[in-house]
Amino acid sequence: MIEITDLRFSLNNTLILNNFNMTLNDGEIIGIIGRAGTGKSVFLKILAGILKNFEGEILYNSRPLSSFTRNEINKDISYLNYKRPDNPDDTIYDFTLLSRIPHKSLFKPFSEYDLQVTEEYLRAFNLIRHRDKVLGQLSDSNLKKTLLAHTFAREASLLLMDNPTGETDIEASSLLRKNLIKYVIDGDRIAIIASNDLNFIFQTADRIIILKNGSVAVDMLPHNIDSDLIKELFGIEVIMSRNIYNGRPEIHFFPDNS
Amino acid sequence: MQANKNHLYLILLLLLNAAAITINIYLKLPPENILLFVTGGLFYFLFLKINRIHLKYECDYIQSGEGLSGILMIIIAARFISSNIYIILVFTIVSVIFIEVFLNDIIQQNNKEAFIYGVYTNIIISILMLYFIQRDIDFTAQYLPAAVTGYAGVTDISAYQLLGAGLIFLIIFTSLLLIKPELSLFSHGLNYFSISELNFNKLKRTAIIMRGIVFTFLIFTIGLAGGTGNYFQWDRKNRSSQIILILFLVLYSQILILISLLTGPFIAASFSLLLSYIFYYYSKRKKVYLYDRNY
Repeated sequence: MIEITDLRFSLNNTLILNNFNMTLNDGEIIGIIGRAGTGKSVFLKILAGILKNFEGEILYNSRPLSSFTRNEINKDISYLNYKRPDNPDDTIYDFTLLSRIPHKSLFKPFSEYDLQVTEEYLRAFNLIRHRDKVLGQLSDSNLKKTLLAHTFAREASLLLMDNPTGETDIEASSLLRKNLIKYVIDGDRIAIIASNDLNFIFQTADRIIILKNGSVAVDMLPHNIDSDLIKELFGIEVIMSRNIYNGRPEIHFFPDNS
Repeated sequence: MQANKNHLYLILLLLLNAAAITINIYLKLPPENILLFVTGGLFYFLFLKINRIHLKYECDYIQSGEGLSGILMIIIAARFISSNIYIILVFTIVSVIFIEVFLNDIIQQNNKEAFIYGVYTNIIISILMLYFIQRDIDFTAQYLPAAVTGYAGVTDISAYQLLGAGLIFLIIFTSLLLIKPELSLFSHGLNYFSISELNFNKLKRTAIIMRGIVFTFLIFTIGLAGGTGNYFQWDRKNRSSQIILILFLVLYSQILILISLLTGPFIAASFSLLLSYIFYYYSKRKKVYLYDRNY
């Protein structure tokens, strides 16, 4: 469980997050949306321990985030941002296995469990048959799936993803959704996804949080999102329909809304 | 299939090595020098491993200009500072680290820059060497062969000193093995390395110092004879291919020595430079990455 109270963060004298309050429960997938510059990525970076000079309180399982050691953060929090790995000569398997480093001691080899987890996530993202391919020779889609497998293989209790469906193909998005649901339920973990892909968020998240001017403007179930709210927060007219299988909202643009 | 191919290469290389070594010994090469080339091959193997961890480019040490710069430092130390091999070694290590920081960290940020600035460096140093050849008879006789065989090949090296070099190889090799996963993660940059408990900047500095030491031993033992070995590793994960790499380096150094014995060290050094560029050209044509370190 994560409790955030009066979170405030400034960057170069510009207030990014202000009066930010939120409680996130175990087993939840949280979708964070909002206009560009509302602080979605900054919020994830604060939770990931990348940005540290924030004000306010973040309690992670009743313990202040600032009291976590680097190794504890590395074990408990996995953060995806799709930056390309620098070494194109590593294989998919080797690169994914490296995600298990926080779980092993220095000078010790990876455990049998580490190898199993790596294989499991390569299977989960349909990469097992490509396991010996080097990163530099992967298609963009397979590279993105590899980065997803790398992020999941950490088995962290808090999964943070910044725009995970950006430029991914339909297979990767579908696998991501399926694995996110399984991952969160299996381990009673929390996943927070910041994204501009509203349909993906509406179909995947258990709770939607909409940011406006650096604070939480809306915190609701996806089923309650309607076109009026989208117009109010994003300033665009859309048509909302309901997914025939789960009743979740789906956004459609007006044909002349170019 | 790949295993059979490797065995065939291994046998072929052993035979070619035996032939080249026999010819060179027949042409008055001291037999103990063969050990130097094997030591050089081992250091080159380490050098490639360290390069894969932290370099932003794939040029070998000849094209990047480090090879000739390092040899020039050895010659400056030997000609103007001291004839004591340990002083020359320390001077070269310090200079090589300085050159590496200057070239790799400030100027050569990608393969293209490494190649272009390497060409400039090589041209400048070659002109300097030509000047010395014209003006300094001692230089041609005593120090120029060091460019081909390494300085160790033109000076007296005791068995203990060679053993010391072997010990340094073992220490660095074991250290690299012990933190292999962390080093692999390091090769992916700070963004990924942040999950390790080690400090990125400290590890980077350690890698630079280790590379400087390994590179100095490399040019001390095989001079410019190692630069092309990088292109003969078709299967980096296969152990027999790593033995093939070392055997190939010994053979390559023997061929360079043979050329040096027949035509003189200047022709052999020029031949090594030329071959390095040819191999680089063909390897770049063959290897296609959808992205690389230069994206």
